Amino acid sequence: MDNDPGLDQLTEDDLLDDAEVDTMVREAITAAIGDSPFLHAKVDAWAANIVEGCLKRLAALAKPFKYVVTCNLSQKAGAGLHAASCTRWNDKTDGRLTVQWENATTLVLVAVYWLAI
Amino acid sequence: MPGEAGAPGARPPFAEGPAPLAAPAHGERFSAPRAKALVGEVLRARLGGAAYDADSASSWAREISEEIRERLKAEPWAPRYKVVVQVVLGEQRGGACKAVARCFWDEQSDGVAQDSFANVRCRRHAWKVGD
Repeated sequence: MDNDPGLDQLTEDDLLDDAEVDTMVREAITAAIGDSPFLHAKVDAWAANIVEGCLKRLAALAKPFKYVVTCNLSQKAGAGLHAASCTRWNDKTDGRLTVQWENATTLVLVAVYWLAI
Repeated sequence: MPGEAGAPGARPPFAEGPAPLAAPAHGERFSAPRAKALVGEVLRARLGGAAYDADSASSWAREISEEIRERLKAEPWAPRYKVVVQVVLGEQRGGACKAVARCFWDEQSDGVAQDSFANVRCRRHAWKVGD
């Protein structure tokens, strides 16, 4: 098999597709929160469900990657929120995706990082 | 030991052939307390006394994450690890905010360090993952 040496012995098929990850993350968020209004008591459970839902879906792909999923859940109160990330990895195989999702009262920011083993 | 100099993200400089997946030796392992201290230093240095400013916030977040990454690259265990630094900077206006992270990795070699900084006007946390 003729692999690009920069791909660390992975094939093109092994790499993750942004669109696929995006769909998985949005599914996980909708399944966890849906249209529910922001509720302080539920925040912990929602955040945990989102992150675990994403990880389960990613792990089910059975690709040779390690994953990091972070979730920021905030109440919409007019406050500003910024996120930045910076990495040291192999550009050809590793990647990240951020998904910003909101309903009327809640803002969810999910970042997924995948790093080739 | 033969091998080319490691560019960021490149495979470690082992002999030619597939890179062996040996766990890092003791001195080469990620140190979470050390990384956390580093992150805290950068946060305090950059944000101590600062008030949230919508125009500068996104460049603050980016600069802080880059500075943390550069400091981590200088650590002794850095050559064996990939590094992800994420910084979230939020304005405190009375709204609630929850941050959660989970990882799917090798517990024996990988790790995370996180620290947060809050003042009356500005809140952020930064963390780093070893791989």
